[in-house]
Amino acid sequence: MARVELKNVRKVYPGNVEAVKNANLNIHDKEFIVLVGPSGCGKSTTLRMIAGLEEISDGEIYIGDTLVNDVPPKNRDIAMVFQNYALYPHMTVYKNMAFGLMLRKYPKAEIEQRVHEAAQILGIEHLLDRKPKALSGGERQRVAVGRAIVRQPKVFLFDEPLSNLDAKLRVQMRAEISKLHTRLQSTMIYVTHDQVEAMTMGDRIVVMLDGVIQQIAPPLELYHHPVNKFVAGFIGSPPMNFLEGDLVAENGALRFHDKSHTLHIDVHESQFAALKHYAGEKIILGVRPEHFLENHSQQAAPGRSMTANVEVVEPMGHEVYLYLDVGGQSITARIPVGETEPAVNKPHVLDIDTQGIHFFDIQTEAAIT
Amino acid sequence: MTGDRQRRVRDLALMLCIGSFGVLTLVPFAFTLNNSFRANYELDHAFFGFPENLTGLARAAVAAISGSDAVFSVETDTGELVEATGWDAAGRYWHAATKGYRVSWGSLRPYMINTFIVCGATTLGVVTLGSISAYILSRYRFFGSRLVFYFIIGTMMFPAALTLVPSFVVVRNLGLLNTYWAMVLPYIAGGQVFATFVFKGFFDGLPEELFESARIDGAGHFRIYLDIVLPLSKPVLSVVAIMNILGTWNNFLWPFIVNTDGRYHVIASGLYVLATTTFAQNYSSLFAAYMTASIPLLVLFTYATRPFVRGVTSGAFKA
Repeated sequence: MARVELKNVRKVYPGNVEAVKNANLNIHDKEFIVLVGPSGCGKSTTLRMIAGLEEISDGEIYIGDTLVNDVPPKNRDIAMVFQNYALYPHMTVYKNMAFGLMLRKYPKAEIEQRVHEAAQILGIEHLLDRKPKALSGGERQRVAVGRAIVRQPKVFLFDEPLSNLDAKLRVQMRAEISKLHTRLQSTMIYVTHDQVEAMTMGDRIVVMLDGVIQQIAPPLELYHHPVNKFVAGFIGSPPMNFLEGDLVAENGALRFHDKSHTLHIDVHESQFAALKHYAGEKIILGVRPEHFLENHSQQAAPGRSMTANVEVVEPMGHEVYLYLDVGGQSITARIPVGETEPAVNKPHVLDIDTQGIHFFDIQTEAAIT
Repeated sequence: MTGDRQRRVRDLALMLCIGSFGVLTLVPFAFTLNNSFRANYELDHAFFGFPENLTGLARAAVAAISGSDAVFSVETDTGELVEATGWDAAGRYWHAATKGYRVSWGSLRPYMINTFIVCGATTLGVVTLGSISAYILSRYRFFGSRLVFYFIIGTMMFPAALTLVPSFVVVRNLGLLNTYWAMVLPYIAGGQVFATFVFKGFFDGLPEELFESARIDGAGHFRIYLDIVLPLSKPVLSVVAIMNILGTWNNFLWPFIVNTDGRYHVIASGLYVLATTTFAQNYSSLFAAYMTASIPLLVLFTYATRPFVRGVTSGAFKA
């Protein structure tokens, strides 16, 4: 097993398109790290550079203590699971899994043992004689993972491996890959655009945008302490609500007024120190849908509640998603099923957990902490 | 109802039209097959007519089945008439009907062997070199690779007749006249263009991840070509092979001019030689020779049609 380190790595495509800009990343031994971000953010390119499938334009990549910039993929001791599985269609499952070992001239008995062990772990022993076209999507996915396992590589690379599966199977395979990591105790680098996968699987998450690493942190730290508006909006579902407005000092306290002056929120004491320099300036407020609280009395309390017009009500079973209009700005709230019954096109009062709210600089969009 | 009737009339008209084309296509074949069973004296009297030996065979078979002891006079290979009854007569009629085949086979056999050798070597060469060239043009990114490809494709624009004399001069100067190489090497060179074009199109369509996966598994270019690309290219391999065999089998002019002493004639040029010399007056054997010459291609098409069609349409539909 091994650590992976990226030092000032850049990838520039012809036409001067910079896909990855100065990436620095230190992945620990046995760590499960997830690269997440929207399409075109450079996450797959980063993974492919680690795999050796893309040349790097600048910087250094280490696997273990070895600089692998010029090492071909086959000598990097990595295994990769592709989005579309990339199984060899003309080979049986057994041969698909054994192919890498056969090329490395492993003894036949060892190949057989490793393939059967991996097949047992993944529950695909009964599929070994089949060809990929005779397998379901989930089974193909397992074979692709099995092909990586048999190699016992230093590092596993996953490039959006669950994207082609249906929602139910995706949840199941997500848990299985996590279990596999616990069992194999190996370094795994996982690329996804799905923040739920990132949050549930990763020891740490790397959030990327436009080729730049925005933040590297454990899932809950990302959730509670996003470094900027993008990370705050990307992590969490439904996403964080953002409202532009003014921060005003009033009677020794700080209060946020949204630009339509229909929402007024008192800043929690714990954020005074960071925000006092922004008094009198425009600022962005960020509130996660779950930080809206039910107001049983439906009586608005100045500074810690809001009245909004209900546009859509989505009952989810144990909770309700409310799509609201606050002074022309749309926001989403997520409240437990309770005593109040929000009605469409009617005003509804919600409290706000002021300790959970975030503020962002309107120019840099950096979190103000 | 009116709509149904209109559709039926339209279908009938379409079927008649297609059927007519089918008949027109089959007429020369049927004519040749029919005449190959006729004796020369029959052909001298009338060019059209049913083979007398086959009608005799039918009559003798009916007599044998019905237990009749009718006597039939059948001509032997030497031209004598012998009398026979029942199945013996039927057998003799068959023997007489197929005389042309037996006579022609002796002359045709060396040409057939030459054709198999030339076709085999050419197809192997074209498929091997064409697929390797296409793999390189498809997978390697080198300076001018696209230009090289366009140059290769561009050579398809030259009519074969244009290169006939220069090619002959080259082959003669290399001292290859009257050898298999005089046919095999130019055929491989010529066949490669089409093969490279078809193979490259197919290889370009293979998913990039397959190659990447193989690279990570530890395969180099040669292994990828041999273990991944070739097995996946079976349909297109069969297309190239069949097209090549067809072209080589039917090529008349080139083998005719590079075999000045006639030792290495192939089917097409050999048939011409037979038609103008040995069988110039022996139409029965000539027609039989034509039929024999077409049997290998018929067999090839019977067994290779399915992969051929699959190969031609591969890539047209998402798998």
